[in-house]
Amino acid sequence: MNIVGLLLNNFSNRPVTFRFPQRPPVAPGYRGLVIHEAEKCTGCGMCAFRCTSRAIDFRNTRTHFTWSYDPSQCTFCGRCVDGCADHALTQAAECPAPYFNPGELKISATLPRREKKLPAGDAE
Amino acid sequence: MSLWKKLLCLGRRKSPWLFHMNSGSCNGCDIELIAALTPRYDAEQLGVKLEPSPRHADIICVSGPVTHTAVGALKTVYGQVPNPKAVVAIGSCPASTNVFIDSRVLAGPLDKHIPVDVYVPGCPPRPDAILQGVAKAAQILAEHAEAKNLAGVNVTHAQQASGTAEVKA
Amino acid sequence: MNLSTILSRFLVFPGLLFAVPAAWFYLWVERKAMARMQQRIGPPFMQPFFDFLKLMGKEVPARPGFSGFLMRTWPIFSVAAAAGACGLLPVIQSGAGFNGDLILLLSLLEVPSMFLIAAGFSSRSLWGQIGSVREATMNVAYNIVFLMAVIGIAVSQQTFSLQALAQSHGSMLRWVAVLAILVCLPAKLHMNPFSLTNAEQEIYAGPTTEYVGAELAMFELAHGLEWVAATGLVAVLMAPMIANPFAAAAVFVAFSLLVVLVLTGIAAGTARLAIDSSVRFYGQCAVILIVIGVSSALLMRIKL
Repeated sequence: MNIVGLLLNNFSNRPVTFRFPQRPPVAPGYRGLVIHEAEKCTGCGMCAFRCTSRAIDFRNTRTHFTWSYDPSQCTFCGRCVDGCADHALTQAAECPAPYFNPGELKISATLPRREKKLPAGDAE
Repeated sequence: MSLWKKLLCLGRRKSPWLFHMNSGSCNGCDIELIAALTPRYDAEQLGVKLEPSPRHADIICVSGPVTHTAVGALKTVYGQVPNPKAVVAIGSCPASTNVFIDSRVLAGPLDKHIPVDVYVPGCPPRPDAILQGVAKAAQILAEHAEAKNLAGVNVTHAQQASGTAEVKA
Repeated sequence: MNLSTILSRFLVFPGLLFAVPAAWFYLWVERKAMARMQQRIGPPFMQPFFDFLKLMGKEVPARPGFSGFLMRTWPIFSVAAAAGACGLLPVIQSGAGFNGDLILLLSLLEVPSMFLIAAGFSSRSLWGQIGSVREATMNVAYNIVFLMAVIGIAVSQQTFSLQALAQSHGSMLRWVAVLAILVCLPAKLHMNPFSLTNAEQEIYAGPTTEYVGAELAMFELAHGLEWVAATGLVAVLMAPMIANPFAAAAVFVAFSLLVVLVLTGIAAGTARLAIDSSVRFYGQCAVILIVIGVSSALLMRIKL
């Protein structure tokens, strides 16, 4: 007969649901869409190498490199973020929103190649 | 719009019935879809019911990259759902086969086989994101039901916006 | 018993005009109460009405052949029979009943489940056939108890007129019979613990698997009308008869909603029973009912 008490209890308590557009808060460290900061990126291509699902595409020419990211291919594992030595990649702390056209969220950046800045005090 | 059409649009927006189809998924997205029916996220507040038969449903939620063995079943189920219908691709697998991109058992992303209306990104997407996607699909059904009912033509939201329509049998 | 009273009973109250919105309202109350008992919000107000609207707008596939013709007719006759059963309930004191309308009410209450079984078979689908077989087995099991309970009260009061039954004083036997009817109602209305016909995880949608659009809307409406008629039957047997028509109607609706809440509570707190357990349960109920109810009815008739 415990179930009767449980049902009456539930009936009188407030529901625990989030009313529709309201969403539960995202935990810290949530891995969402990958954000690329072009100023910090040196074009090493490590993220494309480490990517598990070929979401990051990296192409090199003599003067420029193109970095592109397709979230529909991404599995949000974070290997690219961990592997970036320049800390140019971070993951957004929110869920990506639903979209309607295939390939809509794809981003790409074409940047000129530049020398990697060695840390000061590096002996020759 | 006549009164009857207005009432039908209201009904379609407020009562989206889902059918869930797993076309080779790892079950992560399926679990999140079922979690959307639990008290915390409560899909029923939008009028959503998970229907057992495709003939009763309006929205097909597909998860999983489409394997070769699932293609036939997918097309059959898609044909069984009565018009007007909408398709929601849950997770990154149906959008683009995700990590299984080199697999030999896959028959490509979902939009190669059936027209898709809403893509819910995530691996797996959170239940509240799935509910958002379903609510958007219900809105598409309500607004574009006319286009979706043209004999044999099923126009996705994207194609509607760009003005092209393909006949998908 | 003149034509205008009969027409007002069948068409206005408690017939079609009252019963159809009441069906949607009772279905909504059931879903909302179930949700609240599970600490969820539940569907917005009058959700079954929106479901009905949406289903009317669906495109129905062509149904060739005789079985297709049958598939289209079962839902409409279910709705008609269930609405007729609602119309027969003696809510307001008027002279529109006749001796024997209890039998008519019982037979009209059987029709929706009979036609659901027929629909499962004529839809030519495997899941429909399995669902229909289950529904038929369940039907035989609970009907023994249901009919015995109702006939028991009728025999003890020596009348088959619903009006007279509602007006007679309550006795111990009447409460036993009301309890027996309440025990049968979950099986009649496909609720837990006897919801085997709706066993989604096992047989897809059961008898209604192949039904689409307007036909499905009619089946859902027939289900709602069955709720109104079945809970209304219990309500008229439980409630005292009041002279004022509006007060009588209000008391009727209040008692029906009470029965709806009790049934929802039972459904929320139990799990689905398998077919052998359900049949065995109703068999045991039938034995108890024979011993207590029918014998005391006969004793009351012999006036010991």
